[in-house]
Amino acid sequence: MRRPLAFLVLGGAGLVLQMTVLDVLPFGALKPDLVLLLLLYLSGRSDAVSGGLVAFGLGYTMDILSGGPFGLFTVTKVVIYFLGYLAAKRVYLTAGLAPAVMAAVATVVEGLLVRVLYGALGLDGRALGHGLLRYLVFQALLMGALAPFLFHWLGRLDAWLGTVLPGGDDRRPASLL
Amino acid sequence: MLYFIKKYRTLLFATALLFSGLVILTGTHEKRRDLGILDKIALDVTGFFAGIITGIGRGVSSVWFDYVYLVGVRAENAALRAEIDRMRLERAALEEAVLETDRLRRLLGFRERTGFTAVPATVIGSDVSGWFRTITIDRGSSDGIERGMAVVSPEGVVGRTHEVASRTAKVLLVTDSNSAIDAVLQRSRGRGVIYGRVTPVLEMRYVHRTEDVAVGDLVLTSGVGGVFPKGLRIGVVSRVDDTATGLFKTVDVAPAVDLARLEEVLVVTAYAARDYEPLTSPRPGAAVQPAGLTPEAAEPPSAPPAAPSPSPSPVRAPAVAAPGPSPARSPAGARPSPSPTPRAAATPVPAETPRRVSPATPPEPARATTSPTPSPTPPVPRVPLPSAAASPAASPAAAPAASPAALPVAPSPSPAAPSALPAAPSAPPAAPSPSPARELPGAPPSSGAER
Repeated sequence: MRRPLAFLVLGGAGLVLQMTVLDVLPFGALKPDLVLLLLLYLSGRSDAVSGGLVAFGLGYTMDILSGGPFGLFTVTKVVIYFLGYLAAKRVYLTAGLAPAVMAAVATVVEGLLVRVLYGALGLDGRALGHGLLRYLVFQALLMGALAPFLFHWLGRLDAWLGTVLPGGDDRRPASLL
Repeated sequence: MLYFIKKYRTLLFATALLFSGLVILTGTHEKRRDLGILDKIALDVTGFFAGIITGIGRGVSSVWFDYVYLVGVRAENAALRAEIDRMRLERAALEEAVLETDRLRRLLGFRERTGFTAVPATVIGSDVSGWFRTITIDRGSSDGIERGMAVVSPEGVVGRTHEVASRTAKVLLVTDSNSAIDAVLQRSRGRGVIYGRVTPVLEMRYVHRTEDVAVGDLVLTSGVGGVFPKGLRIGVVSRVDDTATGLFKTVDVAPAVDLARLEEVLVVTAYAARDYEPLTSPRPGAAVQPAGLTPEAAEPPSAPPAAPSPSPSPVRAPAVAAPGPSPARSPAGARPSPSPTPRAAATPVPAETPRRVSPATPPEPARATTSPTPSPTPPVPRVPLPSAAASPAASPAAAPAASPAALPVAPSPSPAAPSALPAAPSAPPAAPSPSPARELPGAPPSSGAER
């Protein structure tokens, strides 16, 4: 129970950072999505229930703080978490460039999901679609570059919390289904 | 059954979470008008921490720029004083020109339409995602802010309030893909609707192919829709593409405001249509207009004549500062509910009841003194954009309006105004106007498409 709460608080702090400090970084429209990286990290190192709840909670909070349709990020974050959860069964997430690749792919998937949900809600998606591909590519590169560092520090935090052994042994569940 | 649940519990849990998210998304996206209590608390708490972090950041930056950059400040000071002297002379010439314009305008019987009260606010955060363009400001319903109010800066239009908590509010920027503002080209008076995109460049849609549009043309708010006062700068045309087939041109517009570096904004709580009354004495100081307000603010061709003033005052009436109930908004701040719309509130906000206050009816008193929610904090003073009304050299009759409690922004026309007067705004001659709430591809939106 302590761990999900810790990650919820950490995700909340990440959202505040996204609102403030990260906004002044010279990346233009790009903005690191710390919550997405946190959820990807969790997807390989937590059970489905607590991780899923963290994803739901952080997505909901993001919806409160964002200007998009309410519930949009609640859905996308939950989907991303469980996709990461599935992928973590097949990929050793802490090895090499795996976190970077996974973060980049998750960014693209989330972007497409946002676009699809936007259209599914009957909203005018033309503006959102303009420059979408270029935005997604650069955002994916940015997230891919950040992921290894963030995973490293989250691992240390996890070890400090005592939920993951310093050697990297995690508590990944045996199977999803 | 239990075996099934145990075996597929993860899948079932994932499905349940996803379903809950979809229920929230489909069930509430059209009603995103009022936040729930928990949502408001979350927004306030996050805004509190964001305010702290922003304050710390600005403090550090202030120390840096106030102390480290002080080297050579003496020489810079002398240079600035010389610059001030030069600008004083320039200002005197401009004031004279504006007085001349005032006289011409009075002769023509035109009405000055623009003047608004505004609450200053500090930007304490931006959107948490890269998908949407919103900012969070440190003023909320306890400061008189309501949903759907125009947010401006001296450079031009910033956006409009989107969601309001007690001490914070979110502002939907003009660059957001959900934003739409009815606009007019300053030079040709061509009409269109400004939409945001994922990219920082705006798009002006529904500009007819025959319209004369050129790179560098200024794009202003048309005043249609009742959200934004007329004549505020939106941006400058940066690209015109008329190669595509169809009824309309594709026009890119660079925003007038650098939204990435926005620190302070003004929330327009009311603006008034005012009579432009004859002057009995020259107003030597009433010359400067706010930078974001162009001469077209008072440009009258499309403006319906306001109700005649029952007792014309010999000077400009500071309509917003005058006491009395407002026809557009009660003193308690209640406004007519916006009409329901099939589109998401996060996206299209329906055209609302105009916040304009007729000069015939005395407008509401300053909101700072009539806040519906008593607040332990002192009321936020209304300050005007740098304008003529705030000038200490303004006419004596206008001076009382310059109290810090409620100051109307009283833009004065500039000498450039008469050149634009003969041109009447022309709506796209194409196609009938569909409802702004649901656009039809290829057809221009009706008036009041602001959202």
